[in-house]
Amino acid sequence: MASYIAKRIGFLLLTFLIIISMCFVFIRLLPDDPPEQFGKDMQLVLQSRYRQGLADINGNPIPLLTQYGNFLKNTLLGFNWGISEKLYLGQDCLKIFLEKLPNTVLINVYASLLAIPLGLALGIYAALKKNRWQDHTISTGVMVLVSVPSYVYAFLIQYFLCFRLKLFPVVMEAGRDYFSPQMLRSMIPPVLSLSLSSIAGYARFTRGELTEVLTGEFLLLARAKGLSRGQTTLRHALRNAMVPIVPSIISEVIAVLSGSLIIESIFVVPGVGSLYVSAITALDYNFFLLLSAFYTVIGLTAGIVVDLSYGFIDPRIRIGAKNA
Amino acid sequence: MKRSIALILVLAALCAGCGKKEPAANQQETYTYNYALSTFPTNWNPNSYRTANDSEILDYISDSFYVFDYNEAGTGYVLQPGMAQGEPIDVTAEMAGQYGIKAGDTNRAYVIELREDLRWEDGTPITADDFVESAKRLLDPKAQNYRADNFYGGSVVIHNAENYLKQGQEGYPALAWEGNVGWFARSKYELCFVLEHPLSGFYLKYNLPAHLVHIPTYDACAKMDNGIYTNSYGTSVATTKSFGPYKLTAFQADKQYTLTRNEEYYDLADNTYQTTAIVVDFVKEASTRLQLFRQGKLDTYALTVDDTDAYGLSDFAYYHTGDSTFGMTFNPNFEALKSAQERAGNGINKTILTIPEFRIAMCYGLDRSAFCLAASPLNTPGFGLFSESIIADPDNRTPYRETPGAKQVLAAVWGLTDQIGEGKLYKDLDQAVSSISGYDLTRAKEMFDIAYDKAVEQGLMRETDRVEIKIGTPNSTSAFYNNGYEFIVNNYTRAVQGTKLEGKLTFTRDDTLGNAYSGALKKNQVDMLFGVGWTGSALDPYELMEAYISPNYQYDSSNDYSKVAVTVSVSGETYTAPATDWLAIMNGQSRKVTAADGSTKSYAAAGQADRLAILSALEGAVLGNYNFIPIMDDGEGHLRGRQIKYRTEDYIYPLGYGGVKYFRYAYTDAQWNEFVAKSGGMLDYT
Amino acid sequence: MREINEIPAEKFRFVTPKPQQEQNLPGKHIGYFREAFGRFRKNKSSVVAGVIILCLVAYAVFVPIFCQTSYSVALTDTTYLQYTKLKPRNKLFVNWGFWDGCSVKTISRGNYLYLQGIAQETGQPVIKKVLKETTDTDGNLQYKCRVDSYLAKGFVHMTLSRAEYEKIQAWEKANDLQVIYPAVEGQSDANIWYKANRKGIPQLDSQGNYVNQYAVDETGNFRYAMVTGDGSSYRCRVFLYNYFQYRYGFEPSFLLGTTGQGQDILTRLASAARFSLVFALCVSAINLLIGAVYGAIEGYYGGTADLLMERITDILSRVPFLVVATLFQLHLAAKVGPIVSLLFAFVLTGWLGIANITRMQFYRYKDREFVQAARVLGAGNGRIMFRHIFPNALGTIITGSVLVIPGVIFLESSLTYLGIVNLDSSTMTSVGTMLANGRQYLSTDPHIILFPALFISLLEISFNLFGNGLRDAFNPSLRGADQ
Repeated sequence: MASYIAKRIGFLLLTFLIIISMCFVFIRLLPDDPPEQFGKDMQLVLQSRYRQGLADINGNPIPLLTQYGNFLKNTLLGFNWGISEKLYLGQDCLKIFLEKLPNTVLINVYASLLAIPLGLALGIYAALKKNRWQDHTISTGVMVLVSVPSYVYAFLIQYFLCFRLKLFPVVMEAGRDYFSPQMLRSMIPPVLSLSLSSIAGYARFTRGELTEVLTGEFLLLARAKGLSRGQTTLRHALRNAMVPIVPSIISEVIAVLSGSLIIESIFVVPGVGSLYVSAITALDYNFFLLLSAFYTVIGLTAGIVVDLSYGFIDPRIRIGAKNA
Repeated sequence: MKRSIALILVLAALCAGCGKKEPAANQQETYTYNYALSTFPTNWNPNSYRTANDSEILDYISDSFYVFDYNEAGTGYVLQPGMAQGEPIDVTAEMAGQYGIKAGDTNRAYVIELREDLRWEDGTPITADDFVESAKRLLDPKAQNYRADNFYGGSVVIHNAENYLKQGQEGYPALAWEGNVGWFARSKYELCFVLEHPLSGFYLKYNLPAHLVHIPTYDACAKMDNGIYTNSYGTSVATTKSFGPYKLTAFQADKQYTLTRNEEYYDLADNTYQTTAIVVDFVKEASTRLQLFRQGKLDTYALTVDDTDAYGLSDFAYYHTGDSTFGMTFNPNFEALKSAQERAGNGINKTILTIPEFRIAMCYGLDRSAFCLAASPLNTPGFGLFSESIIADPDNRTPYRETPGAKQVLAAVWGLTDQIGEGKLYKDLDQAVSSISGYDLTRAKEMFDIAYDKAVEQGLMRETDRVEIKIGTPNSTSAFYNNGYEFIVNNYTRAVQGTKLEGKLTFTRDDTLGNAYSGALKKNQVDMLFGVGWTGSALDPYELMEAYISPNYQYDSSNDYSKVAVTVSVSGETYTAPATDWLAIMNGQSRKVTAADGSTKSYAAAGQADRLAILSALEGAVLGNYNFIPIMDDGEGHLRGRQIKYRTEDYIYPLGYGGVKYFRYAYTDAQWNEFVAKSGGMLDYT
Repeated sequence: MREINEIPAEKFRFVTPKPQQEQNLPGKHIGYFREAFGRFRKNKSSVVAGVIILCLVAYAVFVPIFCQTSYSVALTDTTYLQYTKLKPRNKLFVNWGFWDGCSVKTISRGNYLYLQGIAQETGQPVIKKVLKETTDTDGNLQYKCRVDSYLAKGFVHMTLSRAEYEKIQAWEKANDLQVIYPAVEGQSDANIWYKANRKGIPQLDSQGNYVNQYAVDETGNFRYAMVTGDGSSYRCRVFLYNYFQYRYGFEPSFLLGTTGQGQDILTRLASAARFSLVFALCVSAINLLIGAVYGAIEGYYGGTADLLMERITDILSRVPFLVVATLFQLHLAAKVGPIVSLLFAFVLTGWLGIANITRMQFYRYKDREFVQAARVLGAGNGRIMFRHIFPNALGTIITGSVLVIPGVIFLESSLTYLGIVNLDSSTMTSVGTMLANGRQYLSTDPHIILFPALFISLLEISFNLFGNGLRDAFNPSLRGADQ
């Protein structure tokens, strides 16, 4: 088990290194012309290149390989992602990033907290009522929610619920008081917009897995033993269906972190998603690298967690048991 | 009040938006001014801030030696002492022999007596020494601050400031501050400064930099890491200290900041600064801002292209002409165009841009009023370098465009000089100037034909070649640049119909340039830019002229104005000199000029009339080059919410409608919330 | 041992005198695909989805061909005329109270008078009907009325060359419609021909009539053209509705209205749809090609090759798509254009899914008896892979490819919405861009965002249903597992 995890983490680090190196090289291959500073001395421009680690103090360019070495040293060993040259002039990228992270995390955690129980419940209900009108209604709703882009219902939620009906604030509340009632209320529209498609996704998956399990022969046996339909479903079917469902939930929860770019900009959530978009528009490369690393880490972690979770949920799967 | 020339993009105009109305914590009445920005300040360190957004905070937390206020009748402005007590005192005579002042010099050394009640937000008094220490940090050679040129660029050039900043660089020996740099304290409340070039009167007070940082905070924020100097002053509440009317009390990046009234400020009175707090939100989408405005959560809202239908005639709508002129500019550098066209492939031509007739055709072929309608309807077509709100004579508040010289320039540039007089097309100059629409398709088509013939004749272009002009824009999300680009493509495709260039004039676009896109022309990345211009010196067009003529500022530096001879009639004589020399003369220096009979002499502008004459001549020279072609003068419109009232209904530059200083409130915050709730939570402003 | 090189044919003889007749199976032979199709046909929702997809494809293909009016072709003019935000209008419904290009608006009295000014000058019903008079927050009079968006645009100032001016005059005579109206001096708003206050609100005289401010020449006649420049051009007040007819030869009427930039939504959405569909198909096809070959090699050879190739896909699959798209956009967009660079971005990681499906299928089939038989008979690796195994895996792989399409359209619309990719120009656009551009009109002109939103939702739903139907048809054991 331990050696398997170590192996996986080793591979994760390797993958991360490869991806982030690719990003770095691609970014640094872009023309690194310093922005023209109208009416300013050349010295200023050189300073900007120097601060970005592109040139030494005298303005001589540093070779790409040395830049890469410095980058690895600073980021991986020193956890120093450099300073922003465009968006937040002269400020530490990591500090700004960490300042914004809680918003994104909270929105997504709330969205998952809302989506998982609702999605599972709907899925189970639909599976139990398979091919009856309840099932058809849920399936149709699910199909619509999965297919309509989430920002389209974000528009509708903002316009109708927030502006017309005034149920919630039009944009998210400011401040860092994340658990005040006003803040929570103002988070409802983005959370709702984010979770609608997740709810549909969970419902669809749960229904699918459960219907498949429900046709299993062991259930017939359970029924033959004299268990009621409810008992068989809850004790036997659901447990088996959970084997694929739980990992999918974990990966969804983690993956959703990277999916809220548009929602963040619509409801003015000062999170990392909108930061990524502005970093691209402003061509702020240090931010771009940091955020790329962030999204990569999320993806990689999700993969590992899912793999490991199989072993905990399903006793039939033994991780790394080959040598034992 | 240093007004440095700032590059302006038509990216995002100032936008008004929202904020929440906090219920009053105590029983005191609160008046909150809420608005929203579409781009947010990130760095308001007075030494290194970059953009107009950053000065959004700086304006509230800092102050100037001389400030604008209403005249007694409330119909215009006066420039009166702010942090200073009284006018600057000329001490040039006393200082002779020091700081490079020679006996007989005038208007070079001044003393400013500071108010004795100046205090930081925490109550610490401010003395002359603080200004000196702040200047030292601004000009710190190891910091290389972005705003260091406030002390040596433009018309106010502090003696030795540049040498101090650049010490250690090639050709600049080490230099001590004391005794060398012309910025020092004579006593606790007397600040003395020495200028390199003589300056006096309005322009001295207007352009004088009031530069102040809170020294302990600033020094604590400084960091030297790996030889890289950074300073985090002015990036958060803790690193910000105010000496202006408001102080920063909350800041959340890309979300919201709050400024509250600085009770230590010297100028608080019963009838000013009624606003107790200013809450500024970040809301990118105009439609969201409008929703918030209509819910009463903001007090002003900047009108966009799409609101004019619904709110154009509203009682709450305010319009005014801005002080910048936007234009298009080309790359006339033959070598760069040639290599670009080779890169672009066979059969592509770009060098036709070097032919003046082609640029003239581009100028006459653009339907400016339609362009404004399509890209930015609040703007108005522009025909000169300076819009109507640029003031040539600040003491009498005379707009530059209304001077005869400026009108003659326009008539001459647009080819109307011969059409004026009895029995001709226009009976007088005024009629001719007001008839200009900048659009003359017949003329443009002629010019396109001539340009094409010339290009073929000079071997620049083969008959089968296609002209391809690459236009640079900052991004692909700004409506102005998207609509403007589409319009330009369509407009010229139509304009060349029936000429020899029909079907041969095409455009491509590079929209990945980011905010630094205006530098792309200099770097030969693109062939053309549009929607570029300058702002910042509406009361000093003489300094603003530098933006068009000095290679430091020009969009395209291959256009060498030191080789463009300009003839000006000053004080009854006619002299010729390069444009760059005239620029220096206009800004108080002396240069050699050639008289009509060939004799040369050293000349310095004598007075306002001379400067004005030079300014008009230079404007004519820039426009006659057809490399910076004006398209439109900017205009702004916004809605005012019912909670606030302005001091004036008319826009008076530079006071606007009175600003936060003169806001009066129709409702306290509590009453306002009640009023909004009573109106069903949704207010009508149509 | 004696070697037998050749056994003479006459040495052989049949066991039974007559070779046994192969017995035909009773009933009709049904092939794999045929059977799948039969199953697919029974799934009603998928068939309906298929039909809807066909309709949407037909819309995307045929509308730009058949509905090409000179207006939609001359895209030049869309931004030129500023005929923006027009409501959907069908000439047949003009008097029916809906689909007539009108909208219900609540306007202030000043606005009402302003619109009536246009109506009075042109004689056209700009305000079709006043529904209700109300008061606003401050107690001022307001009108709730139906406003014709086509006429409310009113006038614009135009600088016309002499030749064009004369051409319009001739057209006016021939068609008995007025395009150019008398000029007004010193007024930047072309709709104002009367005495108005600074903001443009009409100032009526004591009888409640408009006071005209037309420019007159020496003889007291109205001036229709103001000379500009060196005298070769005129500045005129032009009534847009009639000018449109002069320019294009038909009355303006847009079935789905126009966008905020004045583009016809019907044709613009069709070209956006065409782009989205073609793009998604291309991505899907390229992914299929790369993924199938890669997956086949992995699955067929297994072992070390598989292990190495799997590691490559492992790494690739962890690269965030957003990062890839951005990098490609920064690097390639300026060189090969945004579409190609976006295509690369989609392909870079897009084929992984198909490769995985193919690999699984190959593992499943490669040790089956028919494969062994082929190998015994001497078939080469390539032949076994593509002649024997691949057809068996085809159904699953095709289903995978079809299900890629909605995902591509979805992602592409998100990227264009965010502005990371710009696909908008006068000649093309994408549905995502139309949604992004239409968003600001949600409250005032919802039709601008409604049609693209409807289109993309329908397309996504149909493709998902269609893909699910295909999967069930090809793989009946999964039936209904995941609808």
